[in-house]
Amino acid sequence: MDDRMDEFEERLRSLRPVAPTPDLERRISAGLDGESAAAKPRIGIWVVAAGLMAATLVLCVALARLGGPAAAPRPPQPAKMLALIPRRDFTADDPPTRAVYTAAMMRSPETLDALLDKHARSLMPPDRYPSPWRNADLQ
Amino acid sequence: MKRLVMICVLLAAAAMPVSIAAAQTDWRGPKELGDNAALKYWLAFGTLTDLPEADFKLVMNWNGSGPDPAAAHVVELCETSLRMFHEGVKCKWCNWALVNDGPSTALPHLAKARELARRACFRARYRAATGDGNGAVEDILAVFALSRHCNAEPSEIPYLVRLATQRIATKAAADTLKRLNPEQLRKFAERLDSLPQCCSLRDAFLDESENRFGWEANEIKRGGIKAAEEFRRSNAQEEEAGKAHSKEPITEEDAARYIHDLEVAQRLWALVADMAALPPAEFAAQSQALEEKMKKECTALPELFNNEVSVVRNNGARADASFAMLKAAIAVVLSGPDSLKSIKDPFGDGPFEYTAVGTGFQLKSKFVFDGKPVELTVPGT
Repeated sequence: MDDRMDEFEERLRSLRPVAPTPDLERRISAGLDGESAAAKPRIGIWVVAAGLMAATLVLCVALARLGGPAAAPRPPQPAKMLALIPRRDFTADDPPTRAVYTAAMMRSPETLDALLDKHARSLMPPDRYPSPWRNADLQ
Repeated sequence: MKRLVMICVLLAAAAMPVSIAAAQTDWRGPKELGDNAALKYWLAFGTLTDLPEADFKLVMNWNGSGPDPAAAHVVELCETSLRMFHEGVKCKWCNWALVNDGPSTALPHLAKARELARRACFRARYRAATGDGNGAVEDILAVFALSRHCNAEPSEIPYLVRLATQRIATKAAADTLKRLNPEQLRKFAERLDSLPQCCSLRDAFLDESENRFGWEANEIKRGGIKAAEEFRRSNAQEEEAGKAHSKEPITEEDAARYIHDLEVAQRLWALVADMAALPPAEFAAQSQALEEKMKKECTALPELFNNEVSVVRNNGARADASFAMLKAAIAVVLSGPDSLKSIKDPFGDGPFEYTAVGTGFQLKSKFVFDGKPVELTVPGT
């Protein structure tokens, strides 16, 4: 450290806080009292405003329930139309039910005839005579 | 006292066979079940076998031009099922005892009946070609009876299958008429007037109203959104207009719309039932008005009432025209073309139009189906 720094530090150590004057203390005290007095009424205003809003809301709901002014009608929803005539082909795997035959018939009576033919053949045994493996099973 | 005991024992012994018989009747069901044609038809269906492709084509296309060994072989293959088939036709009544499950009702007998009808008509042609005219008449009349028994259930599909089966029989009859003798022709004409009763087109429309639309509406009412989703799943096809909505959840509003539209359809189809007896042109005009009403009132299912009713009505009218022409053709073969003067076309003001074709002839009705007048051709021998 050099000598100039030592001197500067000595002078800093010699500095002491000065006590506030009585007048300053009084003014600070008055300021603090005034601030707390002003804050109390502001909180009260917010509480009252929130209460009024809640009361208005409750009143609106009550009026609406009591047959007050009707709510605005919902805009019409787009119609969800079902397409009832399938475009797919019918196969022998389709069950022989009224719904399937009706769907085929809605395509055309010829489609219905073709499906009936497919069903007729798919449900028949391949041959009326036992096949060799069936004979083997029986022996 | 001993005598009294003896009498009691004898009476009990005498009553035993009766009580055994009664018990047997109970667990075997009423004896009258044997008169149910449907049970005999199922025996015929059960003995139908799939034919090799060549034989199948023969059944579909053979015109019965003359004896043919391949045809004889196919007739032999079908013998058992056709024997059971004729047992069914002899029965007094027909009840398929279907399990009514609304749109899911299974109708497995209809496809089988069509195939059986084809084979019976094939044998009729074979029999006519080999000189067995009586046998041919029996086979064809049996197919007419089967067609009506198929329509013992009152809905659109059995009705249409009846018409299609009747077409198969009418064609086979026309092909064989020239091979029948006058007695066989007279017997044939008489018995065409005494075929079994069946349900009508009116019954079919009423049944659709109740068991299709009414059924679906009630299902959604009972099952709510879940049932509505099932209804949409089974009716909307992915590749159709429903695609945009098929993955959206169903709302209560959608379900209410479905119920509304189904109930409108139910009401309109009941109205159509009362129009069933109208002439086809008038029927078409009135059903068109109902179709427009449906489209106006319904936002979710406007297709529930469409030209389906006219298609069914027109098919019925074509069958009526063909059946009337078959009877007229028998009269022509029996007594010549002049006999037509006393037979009126049900769809025109006068008789059927007659045209000679080689040694055969053709009759034409005024009823137009798919843009062409309905015709019946009777080939020469």
